[in-house]
Amino acid sequence: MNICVVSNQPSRRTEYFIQAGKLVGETIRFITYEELTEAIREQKQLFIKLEPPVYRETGLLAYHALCTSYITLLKEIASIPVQTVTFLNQPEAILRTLDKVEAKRYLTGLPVTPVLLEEVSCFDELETFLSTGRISSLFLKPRFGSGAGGIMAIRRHPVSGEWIVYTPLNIDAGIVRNTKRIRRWTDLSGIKDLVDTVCQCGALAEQWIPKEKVNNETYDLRVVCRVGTVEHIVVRCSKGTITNLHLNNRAHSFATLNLPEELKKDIYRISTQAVQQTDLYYGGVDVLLRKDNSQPYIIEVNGQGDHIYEDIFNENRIYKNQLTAWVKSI
Amino acid sequence: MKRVFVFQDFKSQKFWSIGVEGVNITVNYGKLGTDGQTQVKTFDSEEKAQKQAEKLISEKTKKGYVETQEDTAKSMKVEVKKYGLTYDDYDNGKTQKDLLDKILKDKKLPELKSLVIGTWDFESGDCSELVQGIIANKEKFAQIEELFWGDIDMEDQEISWIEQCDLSELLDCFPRLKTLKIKGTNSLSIGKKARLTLTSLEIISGGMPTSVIEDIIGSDLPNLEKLILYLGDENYGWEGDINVVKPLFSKEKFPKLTYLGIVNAHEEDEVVTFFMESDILPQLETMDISCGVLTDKGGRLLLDNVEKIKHLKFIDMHYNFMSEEIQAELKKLPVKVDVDTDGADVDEDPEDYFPMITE
Repeated sequence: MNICVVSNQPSRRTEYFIQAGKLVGETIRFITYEELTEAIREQKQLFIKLEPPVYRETGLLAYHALCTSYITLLKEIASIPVQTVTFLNQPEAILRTLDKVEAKRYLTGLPVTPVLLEEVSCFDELETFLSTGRISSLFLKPRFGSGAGGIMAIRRHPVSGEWIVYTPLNIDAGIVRNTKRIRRWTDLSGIKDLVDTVCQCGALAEQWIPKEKVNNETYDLRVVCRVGTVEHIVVRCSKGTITNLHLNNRAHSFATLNLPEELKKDIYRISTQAVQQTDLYYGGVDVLLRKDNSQPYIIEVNGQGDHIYEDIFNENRIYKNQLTAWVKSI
Repeated sequence: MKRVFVFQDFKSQKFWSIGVEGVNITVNYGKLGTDGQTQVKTFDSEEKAQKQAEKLISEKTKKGYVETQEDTAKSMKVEVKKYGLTYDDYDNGKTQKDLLDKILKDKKLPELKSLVIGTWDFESGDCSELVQGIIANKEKFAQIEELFWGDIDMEDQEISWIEQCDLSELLDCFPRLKTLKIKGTNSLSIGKKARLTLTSLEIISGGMPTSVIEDIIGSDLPNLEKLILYLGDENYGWEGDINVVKPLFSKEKFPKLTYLGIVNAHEEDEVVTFFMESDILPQLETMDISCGVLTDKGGRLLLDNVEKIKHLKFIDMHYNFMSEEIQAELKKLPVKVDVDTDGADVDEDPEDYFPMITE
């Protein structure tokens, strides 16, 4: 079988996928997106796993431009009539999950964190929305892309109008940049610059649902699923409310949560269903448990969300299982 | 032989028991009042099983578990309960009046020894309605010995947005009150009163107003054994004069105090100076100078005064901005210390050194 893993350059994702191949007896090659496009046009018989490009860019707008170009590239790949290439996850399905508004439309019938505004144009619009509604907190997120880059947990005091924002964004020499550290902002002029910049990338506002805690830390779950099966769950903990692993937050084991069996079943059900409804073969589903009643909500589905450090550095089980099941199915 | 341990605080009431029979260790654990879960582990030898059991017992006791008789543990009731509005309640328009009704109608209320009050308002309203409601029904709360007022975490509300009110009359409703914990200090007053039963007082704040410290100094708390105050930041209510806490370092004021924590302060180095100069230091067992901007200056002061601090059982310095060298020296003191930086980074620009809770 001619299995290839695709990105713009080799990365841990591609390296450990290739290593998993060796462990299950499959030879896997790394190729670039350009090589993939060429191979598709040449009608080569290929089995393809698409990985996201590796970007070093930290500037939010520049990063957004790179995400946009990746989306365009995926659309191009998706538009080429393909008979000879089998994708692990179809480019159309990955594209669907890279648009947070569009993805939620595919999750009908499942509990999702409610979108309050599908489009936020600027700080002033958001301020009006918060001050006129009975809303004192929400998340502002870039609509396109994955991960926690550009995310802002926003609070506005309903009486004083004071703002408090938690975000990995920082302003460095006038440029809004993603960092790996959550900062707390109270200076309104800085917050305005941050919000306006996120809005330039296309932003949505989501309800802030308080998350459950473990050992005094807030957590959510990354549930890695293959159609109908939960492969792995990571508990992502943080002292703050932003828990995404890409921000170097700590991971804990799911078993230590001691969740009731019924709740676990519910988490498995909605996560596998979410992967199915977005037409993914493999996906990472971010799930929060609501504080007070532990009700699970899907935050988002990530079509390239099977990369879990704690697994690849140990058993590399996710990639091995993924390959074994995929090869069996084709 | 089976040994039984219990743990009780504002958040949990648990038991844990362990028994060694030959090469098997049987552990039973769970919430008080339940049968809990049982696990059996088998070891290669009786000696290994015994050693493991001793290790586990040591870990539990370090965590605050206290050994008791099995019958005593079985008869222990869950004596603590938390009441607060949930996000669902908020969505459904529930108010402090509904919260008060829920508390008053709870059949367990007469048995409760510990009362925890969580969120009372999701829109930063103060707690006066709830306070007045409890005062109007004070006979129902006379048995309470422990109170945590404002157990509200950051997911629900910023600490600096928790609106308190004058709690002095509320506190009079609890004539047996031993332990008082309050989170959030906006508009807070506890009055200048005699509270003769109080043994533990902790006030958590992102910015402690001087008036609250003056209330404590002006109160008569002769039986206080533990005092922890979070000072915080000038942007959130702290008025910036560290000298206001100096009168707290007095053996005359607190003759029974064994745990003093002036924590979460920008001026943590100065706090160390107050400890060193005070007449209360000899009676203390724990010095808590955690969560603040404790730098090498404060650390060095401790190292230079070993004679004064060597009687202490514990110095809590977790979350600090000390260098690795000073931390290493402190670890060699003849006192148990916690110098975990807990995310604080000494390599940051000192302008960016902040206490742990600054809002």
